[in-house]
Amino acid sequence: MYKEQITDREAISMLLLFVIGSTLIIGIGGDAKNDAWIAGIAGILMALPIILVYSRISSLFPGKDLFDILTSILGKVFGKTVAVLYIWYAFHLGALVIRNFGEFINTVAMPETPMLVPMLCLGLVCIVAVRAGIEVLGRISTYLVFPLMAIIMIVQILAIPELKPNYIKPFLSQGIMPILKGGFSAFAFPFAETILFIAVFFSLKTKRSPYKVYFSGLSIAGVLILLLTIRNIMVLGDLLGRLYFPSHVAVSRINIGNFLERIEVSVAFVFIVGAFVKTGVCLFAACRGIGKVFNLTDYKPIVIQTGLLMIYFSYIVYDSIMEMRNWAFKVYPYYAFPFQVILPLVIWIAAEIKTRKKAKQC
Amino acid sequence: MKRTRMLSLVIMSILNILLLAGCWNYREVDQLSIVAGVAIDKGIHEKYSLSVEIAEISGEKESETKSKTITVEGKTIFDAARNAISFMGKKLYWSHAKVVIVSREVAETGLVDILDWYNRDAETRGDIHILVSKGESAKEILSRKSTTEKVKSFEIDKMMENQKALSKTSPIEIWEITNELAAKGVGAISAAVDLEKSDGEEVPRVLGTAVFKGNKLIGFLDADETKALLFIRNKLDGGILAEDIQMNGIVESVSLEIFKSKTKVQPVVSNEEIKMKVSVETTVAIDEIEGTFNVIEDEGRKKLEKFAEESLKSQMENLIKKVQLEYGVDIFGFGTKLREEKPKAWESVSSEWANVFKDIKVDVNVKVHVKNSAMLSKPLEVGD
Repeated sequence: MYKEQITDREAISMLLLFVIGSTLIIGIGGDAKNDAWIAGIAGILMALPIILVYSRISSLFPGKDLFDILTSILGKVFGKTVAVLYIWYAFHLGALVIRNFGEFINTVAMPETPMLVPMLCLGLVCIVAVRAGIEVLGRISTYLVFPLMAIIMIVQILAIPELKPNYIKPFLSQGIMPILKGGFSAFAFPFAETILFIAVFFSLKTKRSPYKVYFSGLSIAGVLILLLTIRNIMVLGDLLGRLYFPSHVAVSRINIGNFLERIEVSVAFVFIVGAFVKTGVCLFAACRGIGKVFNLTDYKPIVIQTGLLMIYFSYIVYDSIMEMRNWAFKVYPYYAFPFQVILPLVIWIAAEIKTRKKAKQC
Repeated sequence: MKRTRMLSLVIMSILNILLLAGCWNYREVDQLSIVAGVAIDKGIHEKYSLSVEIAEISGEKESETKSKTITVEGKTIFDAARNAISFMGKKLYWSHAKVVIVSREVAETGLVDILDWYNRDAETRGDIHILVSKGESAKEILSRKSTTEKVKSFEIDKMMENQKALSKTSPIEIWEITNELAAKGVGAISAAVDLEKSDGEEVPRVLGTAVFKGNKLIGFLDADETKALLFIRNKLDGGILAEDIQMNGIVESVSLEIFKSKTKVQPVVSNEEIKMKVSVETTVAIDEIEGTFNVIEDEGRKKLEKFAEESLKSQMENLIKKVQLEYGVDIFGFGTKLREEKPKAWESVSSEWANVFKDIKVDVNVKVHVKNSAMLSKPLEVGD
């Protein structure tokens, strides 16, 4: 079988788009109000140790993906059980991202179009991309990441006249608790979702790569998210916690000389690209997992079925946008905690023991 | 192989044609009624009466913009907006609206109903101006003939935009007033509009400020008070200070054009007592001297600056006193400043801020700096 391989740069771009994808549109740390940016920093700091664990797991087993690692360290039965859990997580996360996208289009742009239509458009593109393989997904990420950063930066600069720095004061006005809560929610969504990348990094070239990719990808994404959060706070003030899509409204305020205005579309573009990469990675991880669990030689024949199921699942997963918001901020951090922290820690410890043993035997 | 490629190309093109052609429900421009502005009154039969000014673009020989006003009633604002269909057959399109005018009666019962729909709906935009009509009816204002623009709402929007050079009303956009309503420690204000006689005809004039307590209108400020308010809020970008100056027993007027103004509000907390320090720094130019006083030379200029400072200071102090006594609403945003600068002191008074505000001490300092006297270096002289 042809071995797929991606470069570090491709992996970094993919990780970057994955992390900023749906976060840019939903925002982070809504509970902390004007301290949301501090919550963002807290989220990044919380994510650092766990990212270290992810990179360690990944670099201990070069050339193997998450599901190979699971079976090789936890045994066939238990390993496959955990693998099924991760398949579910990837599948569910992909469905949530598609749904986010659907809700966004439905709310701000096309209220009368059935939500399935935009979701199907996004989902089909992801299916095509994943069928083409992780290399294609990686390459398209490198192409998309620069226009995307350019758009974000230009919009950021254009927003400067709308900034009201006094909205950000006073610091830490509601105490430390909302910040920790917001930080935890930012940790779970989006930073620690990068656990799924262990399923992708089998294709990296060197052993050191996972560290480099995780840390540079995460730091760039973190800085971008912080910048955007600060911008949103300074533009929107109190309104921030009340909006479903704060970035969209913040950008809609931009008006340069009655000429350059209504550039909200830029936000939608960034979101579409981010959602595409994020869903693509989730779908890839899910398909690869299914392939491994059922001992298929290749995951590609099941991409279409899994992808379509994902789209249908995203259609029924929430009843309304209220439920989506409640889930994303209140329930999700706790739901994702086992997948993002507990299981990786178990895997890591088991992996360390296993490799030590192996080293001794040699 | 070649055939399958061709086939897939054709299928993809057809799919693209179908999928990229736009939304589910397409709407042509001539099927829309573009709303230019809206006036909200209390309805006769139902709760609200919406008077919508529609910009009609006819593109026959020369494209021309005309406007038409229709009035619809409804239980809620959105209900009324949709009821328009039963009058004119077209759906209203809100993204290009410029102004919302709220009648006094509606504003007195509360603004939240209006602001909520305007912030919530995806088609309406938050960055448009809101005005309160001083007279009974808001509809009257939109139905008057316009002078410079074809559409009255656009004209009112211009009045608000160019207020920078006049500063006699406080232009406030929907999102701003929404934020101010929600924020603790600041009372909401909005621009006011009234009908005034000019050339024998009653035309709308944007002048003064509407003051809200909670979300209910409680009163108006006049043009001069508005200017003082804008000074304190640091929202003043221009305008004229017409000062009377007294020299040797004669009173003459001088117009000063404001070029730059910066206001700092600093809360001072000492021994549980909260004081506000307002310091204004204004750069002006002499643009008109009605008389022959030499206010350009050093001595006269110092005197002029002094006069301007004194009169500005007393205007602001009077306004603060008036607002404290009559309205008891912190429209200056002192509370917000306190929350931002001294969060601890704010914590202790935030629950009873309305009462604290009523007898808060405010220290006003004004500095006026004359930077030039326009084209003439001396006042005109009157010979024989």
